[in-house]
Amino acid sequence: MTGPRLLTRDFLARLLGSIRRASTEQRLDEEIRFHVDMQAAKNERMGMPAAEARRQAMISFGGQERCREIVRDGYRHRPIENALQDLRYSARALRGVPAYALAAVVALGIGMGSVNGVFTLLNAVVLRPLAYAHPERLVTILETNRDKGLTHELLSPVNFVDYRGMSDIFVDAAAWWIPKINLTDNDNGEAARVAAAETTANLFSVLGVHPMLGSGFTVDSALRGRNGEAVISHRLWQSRFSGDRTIVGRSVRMNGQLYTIVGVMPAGFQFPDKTDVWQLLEWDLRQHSRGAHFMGTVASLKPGISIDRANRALDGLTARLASEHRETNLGWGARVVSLDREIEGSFRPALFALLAASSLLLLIACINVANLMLARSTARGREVAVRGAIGASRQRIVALFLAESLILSIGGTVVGLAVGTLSVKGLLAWSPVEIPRADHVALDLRVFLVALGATIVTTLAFGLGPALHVSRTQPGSAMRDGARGSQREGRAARRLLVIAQVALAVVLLSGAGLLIRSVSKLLHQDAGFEASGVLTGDVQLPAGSYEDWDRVNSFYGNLLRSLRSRPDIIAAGAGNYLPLETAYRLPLVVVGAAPVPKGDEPTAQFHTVDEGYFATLRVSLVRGRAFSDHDVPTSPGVAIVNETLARQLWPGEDAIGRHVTTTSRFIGPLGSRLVKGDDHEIVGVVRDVRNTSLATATEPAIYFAERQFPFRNMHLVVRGRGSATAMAALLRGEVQRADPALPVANVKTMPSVLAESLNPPRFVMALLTVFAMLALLLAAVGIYGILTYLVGHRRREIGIRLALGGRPHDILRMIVREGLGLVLAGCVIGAAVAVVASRLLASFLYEVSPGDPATTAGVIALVATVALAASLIPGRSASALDPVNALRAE
Amino acid sequence: MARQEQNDLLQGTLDMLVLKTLQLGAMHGWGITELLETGSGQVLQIGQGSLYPALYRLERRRLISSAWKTTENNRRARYYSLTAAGRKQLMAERIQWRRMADAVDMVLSMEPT
Repeated sequence: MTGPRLLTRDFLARLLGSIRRASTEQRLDEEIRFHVDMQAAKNERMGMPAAEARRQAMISFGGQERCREIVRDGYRHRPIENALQDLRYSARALRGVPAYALAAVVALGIGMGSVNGVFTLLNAVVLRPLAYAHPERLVTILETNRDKGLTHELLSPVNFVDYRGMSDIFVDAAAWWIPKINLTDNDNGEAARVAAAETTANLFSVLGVHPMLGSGFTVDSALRGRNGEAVISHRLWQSRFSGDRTIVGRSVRMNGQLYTIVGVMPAGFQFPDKTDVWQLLEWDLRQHSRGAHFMGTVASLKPGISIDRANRALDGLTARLASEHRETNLGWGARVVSLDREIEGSFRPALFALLAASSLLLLIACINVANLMLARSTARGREVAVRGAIGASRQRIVALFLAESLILSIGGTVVGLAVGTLSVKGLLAWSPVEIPRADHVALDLRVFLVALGATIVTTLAFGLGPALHVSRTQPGSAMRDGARGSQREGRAARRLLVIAQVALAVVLLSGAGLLIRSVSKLLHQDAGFEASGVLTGDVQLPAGSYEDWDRVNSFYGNLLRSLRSRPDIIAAGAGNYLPLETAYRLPLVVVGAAPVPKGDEPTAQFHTVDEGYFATLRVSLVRGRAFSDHDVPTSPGVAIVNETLARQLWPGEDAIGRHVTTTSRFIGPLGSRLVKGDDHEIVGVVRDVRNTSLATATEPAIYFAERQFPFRNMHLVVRGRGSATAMAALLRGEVQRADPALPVANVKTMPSVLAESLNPPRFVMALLTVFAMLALLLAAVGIYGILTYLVGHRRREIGIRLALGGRPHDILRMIVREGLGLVLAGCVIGAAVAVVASRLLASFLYEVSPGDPATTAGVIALVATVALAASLIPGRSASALDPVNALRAE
Repeated sequence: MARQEQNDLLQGTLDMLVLKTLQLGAMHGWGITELLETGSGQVLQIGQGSLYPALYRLERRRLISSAWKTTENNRRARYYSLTAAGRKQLMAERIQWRRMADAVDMVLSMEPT
């Protein structure tokens, strides 16, 4: 937008400049002609012949061309030529002080590199629009329940159909759910777990993305089909089908059933999440339950409809649904969130917080360089004074200093771009943290523009102060007394800069410290089970070959029995959810309690576990017994509750022997409650196991016996001796032996499951820690720099002290005290700022408040230690001064 | 850049002298040369190679201003005149010059003790 205007302005300026230049030359020519004429006339008057008079006049004027040149040089405002000259001069000058130049470029490179790296990520993950048609209109719909404190739930399919019907709000809406799919194709018997979504037919059209190969789903009704159709991702097409263009029309087996491939999506498209196979939904959404929340959605808003407007409309509709369908919809609401925010999740605040942190680091680097420049500019005082005396204007002197800053910051930017790009690449390659949309990280125009902006800002940030400071010195006084007056002022400025630097480092260190404490609290808190030593992997039995639930039961029974018989396995078990995963929340009726209206029953997470699950995870049994292999479909229904549910249903009483009933019999195609009747007796109470996340309180949960309420997909958990790889091989081997066609997916150690759940805070923590350490390093260099400078400056005083009998020890103490004074001031200011700045991190903190005294104390101790080390070097060199030399030097 | 002319004045000094001649009234370049030469009893020979650059430089610093006028011989010439800033600058430079000259004098008149 400003581009063309800038260009025009630049062009006009050049045009005017050349016109002015031309008129100046003309004017000078005329003046010279006049001058020569007058001189010639004078010569003639003195008796010379006309020709000789003119010749003499020309000679006395001297070289006309040279005169023109000097005038031209002096007169023209030549910003570009001047700047180039300044740059050449500065480059030459910097070559003379390589250590200084290198220190500045490295410091700036560190700062710029961190800003660049973070911005590259921010650009890819947050700022870049989604690669779909009208990304700004795409939203996801979430269901909420105020009574239960739920803000982020998937949708009930029936409710979804109602929401989609709001034709004045939405253009269209698509929904999907995530089944676990084992894919086998006919050519290749090897089965693999693929990421699949069973989706309504309109998903691709809502997003505005179309298959690159094939025609996509054929549709019966608006949302579903019934011909067993699937679309695959470009990635799967390449990796499993070698990019075969005849793939369309071929069939593959998914969970044992045949599907025809009707399309291949373009490269990079894997929505939602990392989907490789889209299976066309074949069942009627309306035939499901309003109480089961398991469908993801994407909807496109009508043009001009805001999120607020959509939310108000949803409020109206959900209020109506709650009154019409009390038993399922009471307390439930819905809201829309823009799709990009939803995908970015907590990486959005994380990256903004990191951008702020890296900017602080850059600021610290700038202060370092400003400090270096101040020291150098004092040394250059005489040069500046001479320039001033021979007529250089103040602007010209400032420009000269800025030219040097510019060279340094361009150097810093180049180093920074390299460091930033490489470290982002390294981070993405090595970090276990999955960052959404990070596959599109690239150096694009925006990244370059930000780098350019940062270059300009840093040039001014560290260059302008010293430049103005120097240009203020009076030429006369500078030449007379070596600019001692201005040095005093410079020294105060340098002290302030070091204090600021320490303060900023303290801010960053506090942030890092708070996160480290939060993450370690989360990791080490009691989640209700013991993760270390446990390996997990999941298995899904295809409904085709395991239609009969008895087969499911005997498969898992045999598998676990053979696992337990292995000498390297201490315990083995299975559950349909792992700790930290949230199961479906379903209603329960307490037998013998006062009747409650339908819809007001207590709800609990429904889990299915076998008899070895709690033992393997070392979840302690508080009361009663664990399940056994006698809890079979034909025996009376049993259940185990967690402490929270026990407390909620029978406060202050014993839960054992109580009865609950549930009418839930099928959970999707995956699970089925086999016992006769709805009654389950509570036979045990287990400790709370975190079942949403590490940071949130445990929800009420009820556990059913695996044989009475089997699921086709189960997470196996094994505790064993030996390495994780050995256990993984053992687990895979046993599953293969039980059914050669079954893949084991998501084989992980339980500690890594825990750690992954903390990825966003760990990601911020890791980067912030790196930034904070670099900040500390730069601040230490700053402290070292100013003390070395002060020692150099006070050589005479120190020499006198030593000559008068001062002990080296006292000198050392004097210098170190000087350093620690600055550090202390910096720490106090920094700690105060940190309390406010750490609020940026609030969403990542757990049981630690900004301004946490232990963290602050730790940070100050660390900074003081490093500062002490940084002060000792100049301190020792001061105390080792030879008084004779020191006094003679001045 | 090029060889230093023998009779070149110190740059700052030439500027001061130009300002001084213009204090007497607006004048064109040739006139300034003439005034400086006669005023110094033909001691100061002003190289035109330095006069015009000095004039242009002073004008750029807004110490003098210039305009086309006609001479008594009816020729067009560029006349230079002192600005307010130029007047102030001249005063400051005179004081500075006085101090320098006195200082140099004092040194030169030192006697062996």
